[in-house]
Amino acid sequence: MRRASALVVAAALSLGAVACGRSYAVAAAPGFVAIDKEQGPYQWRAVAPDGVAVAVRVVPLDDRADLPFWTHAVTLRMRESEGYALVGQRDVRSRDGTPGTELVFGHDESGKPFVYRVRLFLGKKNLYVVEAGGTKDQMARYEASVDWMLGSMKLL
Amino acid sequence: MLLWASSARAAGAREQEAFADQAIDLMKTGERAVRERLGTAQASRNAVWARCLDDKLTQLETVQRQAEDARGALRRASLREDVDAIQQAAGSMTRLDARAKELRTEADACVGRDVVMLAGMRDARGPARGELDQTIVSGQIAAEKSRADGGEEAVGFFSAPASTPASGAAPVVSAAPAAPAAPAASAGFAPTPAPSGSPYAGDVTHEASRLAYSADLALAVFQVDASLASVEAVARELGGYLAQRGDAQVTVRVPRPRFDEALARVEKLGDVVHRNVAAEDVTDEYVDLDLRLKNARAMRDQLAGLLKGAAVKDAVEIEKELAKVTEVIEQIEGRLKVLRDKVGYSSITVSFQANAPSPVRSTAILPFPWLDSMGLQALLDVPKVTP
Repeated sequence: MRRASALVVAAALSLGAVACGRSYAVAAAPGFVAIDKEQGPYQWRAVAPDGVAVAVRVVPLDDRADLPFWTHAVTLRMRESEGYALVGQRDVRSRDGTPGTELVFGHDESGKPFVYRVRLFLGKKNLYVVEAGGTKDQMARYEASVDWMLGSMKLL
Repeated sequence: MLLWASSARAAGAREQEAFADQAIDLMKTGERAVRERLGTAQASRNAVWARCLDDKLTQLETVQRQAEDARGALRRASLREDVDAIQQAAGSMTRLDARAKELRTEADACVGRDVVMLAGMRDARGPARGELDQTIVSGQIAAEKSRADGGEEAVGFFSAPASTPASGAAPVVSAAPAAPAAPAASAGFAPTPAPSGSPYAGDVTHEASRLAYSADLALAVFQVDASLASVEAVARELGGYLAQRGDAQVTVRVPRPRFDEALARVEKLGDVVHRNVAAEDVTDEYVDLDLRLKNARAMRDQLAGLLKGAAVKDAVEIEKELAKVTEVIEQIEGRLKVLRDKVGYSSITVSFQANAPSPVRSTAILPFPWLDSMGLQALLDVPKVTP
């Protein structure tokens, strides 16, 4: 009960902070630290001390494709070019009710199994890609927190 | 006495040269006939016949080349009056002639007929090869027998008094002094009799089942060690076995009737990126080997029979031939065993690879660079934060 309360408080704080000036809102769960001065392909990223990361990238669109297209494009890219195994796929919704797709990939790095989760949401002008990844063991350990962060994604 | 012996040797050498010429002519005629049959089989798209005939033709060509070499050696030895060398070359010639005859008979069997091709090749020059073989080898054995009996100037059938052959006629070889001829049935290396009936008559019904199945699966790289173990476990559960296992690849063999089930179960173990299932028809090779094995065994039995009553010198030659035939039988049996295993057990190879095999790019590249940065590497490579 105390843990749930802490999550709600942390989420509220993070949402408030992150939502400023952005077209989406996402929260970092306790045990993760959000990196606001993000560079590279991500607009936001949160990491746990032992290596699990959750990140958001925003891809501007010109109304060129729908969600199934991007879902398929990402799947092909990861499977055929990167050699990732598609472990699962399901329909999801963002906190604001936008329909999306979650893809779960598996991949061995140096003989160690990793899990890579990707959620895709199609906004009016952008494609929102929320990614989470880490070793299989760590992802299992942080599963609740990762689920919570992925579920906190809200398109504004 | 010495002059007579020298004259006799010269005459014997001439006879052997004539015999060699005739034998090679006959080989050429036989080769042409087999080649024609091969052409007919190829034109009619009969792969089984064509393959068998092609094999026999190749062997015939080899035998013919060897025979020409032996004839050259015979001529050189004859010029030197080297009795041992003449005898050796003539022995080779006799064996090659017998082998050529076998091959012609086997070529007949290729097309499932008992017709002896030689029947159509006998010409007016003399008896057919089989008769020549028997005459010569009988003479050889008779001479040996004579020597064993204390006969004078016994140097094999080359010591026979000159009996100038008529032009184109078969050499008439007789031992000197007169010795009882060896029974024709046990003389020399009698060729393997042609198998009766079509050699394929009993194979037609099961030809269709001589298919060797194999599957190659490429799985995405995830939980490789566990998956490799699971593939092996599936094979063992279905009565198969592990054939090979590496760091990122495993090959298992499963009984043919369980192949589909095994494949379905293995495919569920991971994300199959690439799949290739093939069936190789080994019927032709199987039938060919089976036929060759029958012939070789028949030859071995005949040689074993000859060995029992052979003189010492003949016994050495027969044992050499027997060793060769035994080696051939072992090779064929080994290959047949491999083929039976190949048909009886199907192989499934599972490999884990980072990228699907794609020698030729068959899809367009999406013009969205951000896709290239998808993946764990970018996600987990967190840049340093400067305070």
